[in-house]
Amino acid sequence: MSFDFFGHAFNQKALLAGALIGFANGYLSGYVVLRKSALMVGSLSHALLPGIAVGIMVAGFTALSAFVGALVAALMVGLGAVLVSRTSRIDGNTALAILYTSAFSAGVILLDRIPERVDLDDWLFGNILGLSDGDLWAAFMISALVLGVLTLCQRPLLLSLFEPSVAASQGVPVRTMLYLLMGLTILALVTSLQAVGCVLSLGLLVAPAATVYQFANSPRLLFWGGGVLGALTAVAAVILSNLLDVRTGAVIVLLLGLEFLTAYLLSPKYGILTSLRNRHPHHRNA
Amino acid sequence: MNHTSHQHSGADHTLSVADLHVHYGSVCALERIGFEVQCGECVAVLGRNGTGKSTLLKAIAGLVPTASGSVTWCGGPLAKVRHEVGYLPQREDVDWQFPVTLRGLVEMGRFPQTGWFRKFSDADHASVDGAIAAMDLGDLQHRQIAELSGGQQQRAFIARALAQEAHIFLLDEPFAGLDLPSQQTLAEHLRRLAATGHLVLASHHDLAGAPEIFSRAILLDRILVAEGDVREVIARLTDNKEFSHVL
Repeated sequence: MSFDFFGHAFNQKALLAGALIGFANGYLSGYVVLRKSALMVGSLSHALLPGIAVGIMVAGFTALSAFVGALVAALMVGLGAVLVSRTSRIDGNTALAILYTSAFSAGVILLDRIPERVDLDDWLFGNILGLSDGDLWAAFMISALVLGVLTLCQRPLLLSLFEPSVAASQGVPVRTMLYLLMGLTILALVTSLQAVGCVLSLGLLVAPAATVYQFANSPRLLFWGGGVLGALTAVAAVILSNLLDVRTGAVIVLLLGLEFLTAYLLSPKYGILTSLRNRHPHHRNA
Repeated sequence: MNHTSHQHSGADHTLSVADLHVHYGSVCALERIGFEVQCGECVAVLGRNGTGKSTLLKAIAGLVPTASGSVTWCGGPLAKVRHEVGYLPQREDVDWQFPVTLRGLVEMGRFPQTGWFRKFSDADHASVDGAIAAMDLGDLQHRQIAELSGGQQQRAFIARALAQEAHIFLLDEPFAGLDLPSQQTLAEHLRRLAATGHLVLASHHDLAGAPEIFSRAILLDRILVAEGDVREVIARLTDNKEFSHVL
């Protein structure tokens, strides 16, 4: 059975895509966790949909058209939320919630009407088995770009995340760094949308590093650990979902959630069981 | 326990603040502040809460914009040589859960020297080792920063500034929340920093203990109320009723 499974070009592609997208998103998830911007990324992942739809309508179905459309949509929703909060009684989070759900709805309607090979369901929940060679190449190029830029800019990014005002006073272009991080997040989202879908992509962009965070005390370990965990989990999910005949994207995110829960409970240093045991020292020798 | 020593001709190493104004929106936080201090001095910035102590340190560090006035160092604008400044924030301004060890924190101090890409050289590692040793933190260097005591955390930030080769140390309430032994250890380190040619400016609220630690004092109440030898400033304060509103 396993021979058959690995022998299919179809599945090999899914395994490769899982490893690639899992690693890139997992690595980036370290930054998302340190930036404490998980919910922002969640709203972004939904806001991208109409942009992708318009991008495909205008320029056809390519990674570039999807990315440019996604970027424009993200900027419009992000800046729109700032504008509304500054010019009304409504605060930024409320404005963002309204704008991103509206954008998401527009995206759902538009994508449903595009006569493309990708179904709306695949945009929402992902279809890693349906990736073409071109999609895989695009995922590879985007992952390489994201990882390359993150590695090159690691020091200024870390300073910007740890102490933004001190970093700025030392000449680090903090604002540029944070926008760069946002741009890279959108790029990573464009690839993960096809694999896990926009509803679930947030899990892949947060959970790996959040799990490693229960063990790691160095940023490098957080990033690489997140990458490796993301890749291994995605590969395991591709295999598992094939065996059980369930949606791969959902299995990826569910496995990540279980891993996080395990770490939250059992981490020797920061786990909840350890802190409970330390609170009741008489149990220690039991 | 050697702090990196700086050889200078003292007069050149003057931090000069002239006619400094800082506003937060329409609120005036500091007005017409002017003074000069030099390397080798340990200066207390005194005053009640809300009189501009933190703002003054932040303005010198370039963390808040100034409305007018100048801050110069060795005759040139301090803004041109930011790596000369080591800033120690108030405790609540630091994300203590950030996944960084004490050594990782001190290594960040080398980034201005290494730039964005250059690998750490032997000299960089030696500088980090020296800074950690100078603050007596060698045994703790692999601890995550939240696992340090309050006094150790303050010394870790000072070690970072040492690794950065800063001349000017700006410390915002470094003694707040420390127990007595930790306060004494930190005071000893600050005196040593000054003795090895660094300039230390720290906001402080304990008048009685100030002469034990500091050589000079600046008293703020949005404006500069008094400045000079720490004992003289405190004596003027306690003798003179006109200053009673300040503390």
